Amino acid sequence: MSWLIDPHLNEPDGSEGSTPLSVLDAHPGGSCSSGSSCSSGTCLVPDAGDDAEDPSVSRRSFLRLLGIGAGAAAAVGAGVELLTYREYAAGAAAANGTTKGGAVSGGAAASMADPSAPPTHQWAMVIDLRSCNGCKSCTAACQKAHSLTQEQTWIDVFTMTSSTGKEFPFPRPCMQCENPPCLHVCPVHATYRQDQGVVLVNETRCIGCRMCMAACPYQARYFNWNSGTKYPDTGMPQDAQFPVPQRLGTVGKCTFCVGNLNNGLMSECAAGCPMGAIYNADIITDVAVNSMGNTVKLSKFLNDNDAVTFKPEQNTHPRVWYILGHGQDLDADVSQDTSSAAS
Amino acid sequence: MSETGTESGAASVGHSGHGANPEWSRAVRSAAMRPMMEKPGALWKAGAGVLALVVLAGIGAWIYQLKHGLGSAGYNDQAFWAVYIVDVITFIGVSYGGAVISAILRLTGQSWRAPLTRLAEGMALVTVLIGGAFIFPHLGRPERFLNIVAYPNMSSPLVWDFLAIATYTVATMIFFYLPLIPDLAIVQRTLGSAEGGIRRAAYRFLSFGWLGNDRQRRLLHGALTIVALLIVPLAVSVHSVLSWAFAVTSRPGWAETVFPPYFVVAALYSGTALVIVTAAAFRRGYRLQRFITKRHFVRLGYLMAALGLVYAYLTFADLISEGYTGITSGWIRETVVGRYAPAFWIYVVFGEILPIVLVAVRRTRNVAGMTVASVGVVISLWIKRIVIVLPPVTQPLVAGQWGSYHFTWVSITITLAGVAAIPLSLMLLFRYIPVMSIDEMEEAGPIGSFEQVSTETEKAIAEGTVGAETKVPVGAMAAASVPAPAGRRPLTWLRRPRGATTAVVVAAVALGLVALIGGGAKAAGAATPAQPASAQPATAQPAASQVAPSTPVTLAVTQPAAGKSALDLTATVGSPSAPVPSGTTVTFYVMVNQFNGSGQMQIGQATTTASGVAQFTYEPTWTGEEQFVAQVAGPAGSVAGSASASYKVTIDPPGLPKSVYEYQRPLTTTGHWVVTTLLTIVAIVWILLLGSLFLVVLRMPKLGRQ
Ligand code: SF4
Ligand code: SF4
Repeated sequence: MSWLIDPHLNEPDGSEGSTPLSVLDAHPGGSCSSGSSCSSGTCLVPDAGDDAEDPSVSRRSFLRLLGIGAGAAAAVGAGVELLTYREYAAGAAAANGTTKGGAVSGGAAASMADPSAPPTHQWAMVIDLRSCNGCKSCTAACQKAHSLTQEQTWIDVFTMTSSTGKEFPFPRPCMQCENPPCLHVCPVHATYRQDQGVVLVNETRCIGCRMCMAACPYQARYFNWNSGTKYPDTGMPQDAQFPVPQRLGTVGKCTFCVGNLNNGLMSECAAGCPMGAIYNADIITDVAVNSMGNTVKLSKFLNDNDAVTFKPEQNTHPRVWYILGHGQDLDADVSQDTSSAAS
Repeated sequence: MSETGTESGAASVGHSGHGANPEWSRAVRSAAMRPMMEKPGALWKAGAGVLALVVLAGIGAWIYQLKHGLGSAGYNDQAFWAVYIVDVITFIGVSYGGAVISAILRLTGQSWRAPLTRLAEGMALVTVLIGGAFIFPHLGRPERFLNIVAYPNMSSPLVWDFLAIATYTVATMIFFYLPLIPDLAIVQRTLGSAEGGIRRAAYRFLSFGWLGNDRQRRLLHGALTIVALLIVPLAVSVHSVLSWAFAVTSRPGWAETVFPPYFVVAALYSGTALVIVTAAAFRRGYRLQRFITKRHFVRLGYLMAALGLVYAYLTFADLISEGYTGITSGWIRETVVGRYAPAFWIYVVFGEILPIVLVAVRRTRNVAGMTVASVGVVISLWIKRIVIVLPPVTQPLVAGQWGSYHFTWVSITITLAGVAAIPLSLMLLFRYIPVMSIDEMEEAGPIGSFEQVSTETEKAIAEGTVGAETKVPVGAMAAASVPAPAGRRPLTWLRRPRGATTAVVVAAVALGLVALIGGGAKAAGAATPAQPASAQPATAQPAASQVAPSTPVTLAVTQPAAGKSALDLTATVGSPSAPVPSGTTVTFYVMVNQFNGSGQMQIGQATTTASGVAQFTYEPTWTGEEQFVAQVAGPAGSVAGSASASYKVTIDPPGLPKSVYEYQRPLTTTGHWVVTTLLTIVAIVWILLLGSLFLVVLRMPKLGRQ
């Protein structure tokens, strides 16, 4: 019955292809091209050829074992809200009597070539609500990069009301849930999770049933309702990592700009945030960076600032953390405090 | 395919065995076959023409929608499910009503069902096909529909929806076809040889040599019992799985435990109502007043009212628990007093109060009253389902405004086409098959036996052994003139239902056990590890003593233990000539340019000893050439001194498993064998269904020849 288990790594249809050139074109100054040409020696990301050491097969299977054990242990700790990822991981790893884990050797290219290789990055995001001023630059940057319509706010800035009645802006991308309800309910495996933890939609397979929209607790999915929208043709085959142009009758959502991340660039929203409120993060290298050039150690940053995830009670394990700071809380009941246009 | 049947003349063939009442038989045959034999009248043509136009308009609207996207049907991101899914539920729901009423009446040997079964089963067949077809306008990419077969995700409710609906549709077809076999034989023999040879040949082929002898009857009855027994749980499964498409999400208003029975009862309720409406329409249009009487309507009306009360109760139960706590009750406010209140109260008045009053008051307890009540129920249950779908779908899950759905001409036209397709298909259907089950009518005898079939006959019917010895009461012909018998009927009919009920209960208990054990396994798999400690206290900043600007700093990186990845960063601050106070804080950084970032990532702090040495142990997180920086802060945020050093990390750092949280998908990992069990059940159902059909088809001609 192996076909019953979703291969959550890669799906066919080329959805795991290379990043379209247009992403690179948008950033002619992108620092790290592939290969070992990085001068600084600390260029981590696209260093496919830099490190000759390939992950050994035994480590791979070991990792898989570890992952399963860690999963079982982690599944129960789900209720702990303030827990940061690395502590969580340390606990889970310790529970397995080991500290050996994933490696950063190899690169994006390696993981594309061999899907079973341990991924070198686990992408995440931190949104520092103390800095966010609600300007919606992130939304605009995202919509421009992905040729989205006005309504398709893959990252949307909501106005939340805290329990003290204070309003604050709240950017909401796709949470890239580690336990994604949208993925579980998709009838055709069109929604899948690639090995860097990013949940993507294969728009060449999606049947447009919108079950995923019903299941997502964060309202993070957007459908392509109208053919009237003119999507520019990039001349590139559509790719789940960079689903542009969007296809009529299928669903789209935030991709974390995983193509950018794999090329050493920031996501469009993070790069477009003038306040530096959005940090791109990598759990494995334990680094988070915002548009102001602030580089922080992810685990420490989350710990020191009591980062939280949104709707932890949904057991979705988001990969997006929020840092509160002005008396905000995410517990205000949205269905209560938004008055309807009733009657 | 024997020709022996033709010898005894059209009128009496096929039922020579128990055609105890030739007048009754003649009347039944002429009424049931009249729409087939006569040329369609002007009224029929006009009606069919109008209905066909509506259906064509719907198809046109769908083509328009295919071209312009679902947005043209009024959909948007905060109303992503709306009218089409309601149509799917409604049409498949009424189908359930038709099939189950017929099946239950059959299983319990209610002979008064005879004039209704063909209508009910035909309605069930037609509506399940229409309801299934509504999945296509619902999908954004209907042409990829078969991806569900090609890449099924067994943890998706929609895959199970597909399985359940497909199985149920096949069951409905077989359930429609099997009782038709005797009638097809009768039709074939009644058709004069003048009536096109092809048509006759088709009837002859499809009746598979039916002669109506005892052995054939027993065979057919056995197969029918199996299918009827299956169709009840099948329909329950269809509506449960349909409801789980809503209930497995986390949306307030949909994530309700009451949903499966809620949907099942709604289906039965609206289905009973549509049986009444169908019966009323065809009774009038096809002049069946003699056979379908007021008493049929009243009986069905009672059933409908009972189901209506259950449905009202479930509605209340659904609203009260969340409404009471108010945690997530925005959708309830919208439903009861908000934007959807008019629709909701229309349901309460026309879908609950009116029908129950019409059934309760003796003066309205008649054909007209029941028909009015049923029309109200059918329409207001469609509205009720809109109210079930729209408030939860439009509610904001993060913050902000409620969404809204606006009907457009596209969605209205397509829905109306579905409505029009029901009478149109039935009208066409009854041009080719009898509108009433002739065989069952003859078996049940005149309608005077509505409540008064002798025990003997009951038993015989139940066991499918009705033979020449059976004495069907040859009472008064007109139902109205027969007073209801005062005596209670003997309880023989209970025997069979007991078996049926036992089977259903056993099946339910078995399924329940499977579910329980599956859940138990899941719970056992998830042990309780100790919860890691939460946030650590932030690093306390040691009291900064003054450090002079331009303090010399050196940094050395060493690997203390061979084979371990941890590195010692040793910073020496100050010089003998310019010592720094002990306890001076040194901050260590590593250079990073991931994400195109600029660089210094703080990795920790340490304080100097008396000799000006600060040491920090760092666990690198990646391999390669790394550059470290040690800094000493001067007054007012300035940098008093810094040094850098690089080191090539070659040992794989102890990192993390690629994903700390390996999720387990519902119904796949630990529930793997639950899926297997469920699929096995589906397979068994298919084998039973198709087996019954093939058995009948293959054995029937042989039994006829013997
Ligand atoms: S809309 Fe597409 S991605 Fe979403 S559940 Fe349906 S098939 Fe999957
Ligand atoms: S936020 Fe929504 S769309 Fe994104 S992974 Fe989670 S459930 Fe899926």
